[in-house]
Amino acid sequence: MRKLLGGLAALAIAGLAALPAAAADNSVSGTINVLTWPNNDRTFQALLPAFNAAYPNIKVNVQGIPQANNAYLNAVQRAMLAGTGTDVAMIEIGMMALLRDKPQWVDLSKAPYDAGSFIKDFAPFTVANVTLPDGKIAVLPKHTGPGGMFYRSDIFAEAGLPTEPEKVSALFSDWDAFITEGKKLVVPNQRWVIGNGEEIVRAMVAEAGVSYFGADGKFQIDNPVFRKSLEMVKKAADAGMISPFTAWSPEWQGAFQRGQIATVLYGNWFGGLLKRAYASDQGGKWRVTFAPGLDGKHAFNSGGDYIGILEGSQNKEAAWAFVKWLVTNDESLKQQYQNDDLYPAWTPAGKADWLNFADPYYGGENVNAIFAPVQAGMTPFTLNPLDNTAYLSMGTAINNVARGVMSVDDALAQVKAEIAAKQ
Amino acid sequence: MAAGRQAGKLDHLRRDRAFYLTIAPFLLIFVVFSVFPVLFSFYLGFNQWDGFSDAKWVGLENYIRALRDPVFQKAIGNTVYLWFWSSVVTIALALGLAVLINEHVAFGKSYFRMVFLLPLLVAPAIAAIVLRLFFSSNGGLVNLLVGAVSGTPSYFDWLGSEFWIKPLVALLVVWRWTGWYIIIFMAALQSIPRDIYEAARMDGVSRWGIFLRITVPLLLPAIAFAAITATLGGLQMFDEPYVLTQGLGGTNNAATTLGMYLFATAFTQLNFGVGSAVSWYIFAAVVIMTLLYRAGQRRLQGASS
Amino acid sequence: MSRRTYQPGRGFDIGVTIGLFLLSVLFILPLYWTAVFATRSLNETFQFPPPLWFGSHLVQNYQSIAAVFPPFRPIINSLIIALPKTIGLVLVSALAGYGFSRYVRAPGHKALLVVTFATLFFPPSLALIPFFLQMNAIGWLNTFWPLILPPMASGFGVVWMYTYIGSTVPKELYEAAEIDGAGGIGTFFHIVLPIIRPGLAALAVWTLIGTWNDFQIPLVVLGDGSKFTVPLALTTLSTTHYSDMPAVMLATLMGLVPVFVLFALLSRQFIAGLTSGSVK
Repeated sequence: MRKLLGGLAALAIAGLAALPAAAADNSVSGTINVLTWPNNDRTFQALLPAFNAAYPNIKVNVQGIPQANNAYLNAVQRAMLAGTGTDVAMIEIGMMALLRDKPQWVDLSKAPYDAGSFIKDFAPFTVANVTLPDGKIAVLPKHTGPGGMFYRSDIFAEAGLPTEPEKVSALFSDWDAFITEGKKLVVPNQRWVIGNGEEIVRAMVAEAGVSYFGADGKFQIDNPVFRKSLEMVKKAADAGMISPFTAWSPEWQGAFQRGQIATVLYGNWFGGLLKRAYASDQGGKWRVTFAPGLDGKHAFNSGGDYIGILEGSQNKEAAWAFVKWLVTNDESLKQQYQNDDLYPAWTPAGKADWLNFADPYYGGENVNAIFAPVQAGMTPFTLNPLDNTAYLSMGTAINNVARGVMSVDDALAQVKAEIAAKQ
Repeated sequence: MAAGRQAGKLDHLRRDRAFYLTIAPFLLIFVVFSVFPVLFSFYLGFNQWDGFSDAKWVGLENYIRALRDPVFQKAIGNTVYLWFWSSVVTIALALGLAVLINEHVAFGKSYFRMVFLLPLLVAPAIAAIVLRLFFSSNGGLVNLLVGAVSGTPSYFDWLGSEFWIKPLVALLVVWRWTGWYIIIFMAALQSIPRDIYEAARMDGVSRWGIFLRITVPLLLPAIAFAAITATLGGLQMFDEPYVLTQGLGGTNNAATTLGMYLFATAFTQLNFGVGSAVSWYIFAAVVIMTLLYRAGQRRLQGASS
Repeated sequence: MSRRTYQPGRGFDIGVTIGLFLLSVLFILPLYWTAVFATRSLNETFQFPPPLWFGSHLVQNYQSIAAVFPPFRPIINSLIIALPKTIGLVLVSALAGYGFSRYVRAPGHKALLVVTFATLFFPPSLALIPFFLQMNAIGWLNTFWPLILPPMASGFGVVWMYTYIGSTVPKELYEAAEIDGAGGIGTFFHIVLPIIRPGLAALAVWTLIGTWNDFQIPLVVLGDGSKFTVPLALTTLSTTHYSDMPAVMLATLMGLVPVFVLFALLSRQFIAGLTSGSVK
């Protein structure tokens, strides 16, 4: 008899242990339409089983529209203007300034969402981006783009440079060193050090903690860091370090395949592109380290996305369940990281073991040792609706300086004139 | 006599009624679906509107703002260049090819008529991707040829060059549209009676002479139509420069056209007021060009008669 | 009449034919390359130099497409839009063009013609937002209606038909028809329509091509992936920062097939119209 009871007790305990940690929430139901861009649409589809395990009665329709040609921006606009048809929409950081002030976003700081209670667990600079002056939380941060320097360790070895991340970072400690040491990697007409001058400028400006527009809306182009970064571009171009390929063009993308570019300064998501498209057969050859620093600061951000609920949604409760789950749930963040190399803005996820592991693609390096400190060290920046115009104008200036077509002074003056015409 | 006049009046009424009946379907749909957007865009030209918030009346500020923008000023020059060269080359090429196909191919006329139209069937975005393959800075056919000839590998960025991007855009336009104008000219050529050619040939006129002195003058209405169509398309050119420069307008806005500037202002910067103002500038340009064409046409007709 | 003294020009003609053929090959070379890329893998498209011959990745590329959307749905959608719109546009334009061409003395003729011409001068992307607002108000968003009905009023079509009918149909024909007692509309359908077939065919070809490749307006109007037309569906083949180019190329080719077929059919009609012995 005691044996039987003991056996039953053991069974009961075993049964209890087998229960899922969180019970499924059957109370929230409804159908929601989620708008996003590729590859997120496919990742969301893959996440639905996990989501539905937590919320069995919510049906999610995912709609993917590409970013190219403003298609996604226009799609969000359509959704916002129509007032129906879309419940949840993602926005990329570049669109934030244009869209976050609009009344069509549900204020997530209010009940029943109360995002204010856990917003501090997101990376601080993203919190600044989603909180409006009147305290409204327009969208939730989802991912960031902590930046580092990706480099081909085999090419570095060939040029007689060190290959371990710590040593490379010590050598490429600041931007002048980047030029002096990077020069050694150049093989004229065959190999360049960096794809485009804008990588240098973006990093330097962010490291200085300067935004293109101040909190008062004034264009800050006269800040010395802009001139300094353009002069750095000129030095790099004169040393033959900058490739002739336009960023994101097919020839630029193909250049990685052919080993024509030695380093890249972008957010962590760039690794995903290397692995999946540009250099899928170069596993073991790439490493990541800190970008060259400006006055000792190495942190820069490139990229990031946010997600919010539209006012016209008929199912705000279900939409909120999805949004909150998407940006905080471990399984969700894990799959998004593993599928698309998206770095969570949710700081508790920073300790996860799917984020801290020896990545064979990087020769066993744990790249989070680079990205986590960068994320922590990011200075919040000010967003302005003219940001994209400023980036484009600056991009032209950078290319003009890199190609020796314009002096730094003239290029800066042109940027100033172009923005002045829009303000 | 009175009966005849009354019959005339009835005929008039019947004819007028027939007129209104024939244009009714077109007008109805047009008024309902096109007039409102046009009027609204006119109104928008005097407002500041981002598509969501309330529109704010700003008078002529959008028009002035556009004029002061260096990019807008550049776009004007780019548009004129692209319109002129793409139109001239396309029409001249199409005219020559149409005559050759119609008069001088030994066989396979229907093949030739179709084949030049194929590029137009391909979406501009795909056509641009393929053209990029030719002119790619990293292993494109043209650079391979240049490299083979000069001895050193060439990575010249044709598409990134401030100078070359415009000819390349024009090339894309010519490639896509020549076939369309060939069809227009061939349709017109069909209506030229054969006896004129026979007579000319009997008189011993050379092929080139026939072309210059008979074909071209008879085709003038078609050429005029082609010129006007090409101008309308050319001044509003958007697809080809947009896809070839991936929306950015080329280095230093070397290929940004007025149409692209409008699109960027309205849909990327969400400034519909300035976008509308720019579209009215384009409208004005097209009207002026058309008036110039009509004057030129009248002058030509006066001279030839 | 049938004995043509062509001998002196024969050599020239053969030379021209060969030259034109070579030129046509140059024209289609990009399309050929599209086909080549459709059979290659993404890695191979980055190669140096790029592949010039067909590869073996056709099946995988097809699978990439099929994984993202049912491959024929967009083609069917594009057809559902293109066919009614083209037929409607051509008929409406021909009718109006005929009216403008024949009834020159009707009151309001000049004013209406000028207005019609004026519509050609508007950059299309401008009217996009007001049009969208209007469709939203009617409740036609996310349906095919905005892409079929409003475009039937095409200023270009009317002007094209007006010009064509004006230069092809002689006034005597109208007088003869009137004497026979035919009304304006009757004359159009029974007498004018058969004569202007080449013009109709050209306008139809133009409209079909434009509709097939139309991207912006369908993008703004259609929100539902299952309703996407071919150009829209093609763009969903891209991922965050790169395009699956071979898959896009393959899908493009697949999307081109119906257009080629329609085009070939209309071409035959076109030729028939031309050789059926015209007015003179």
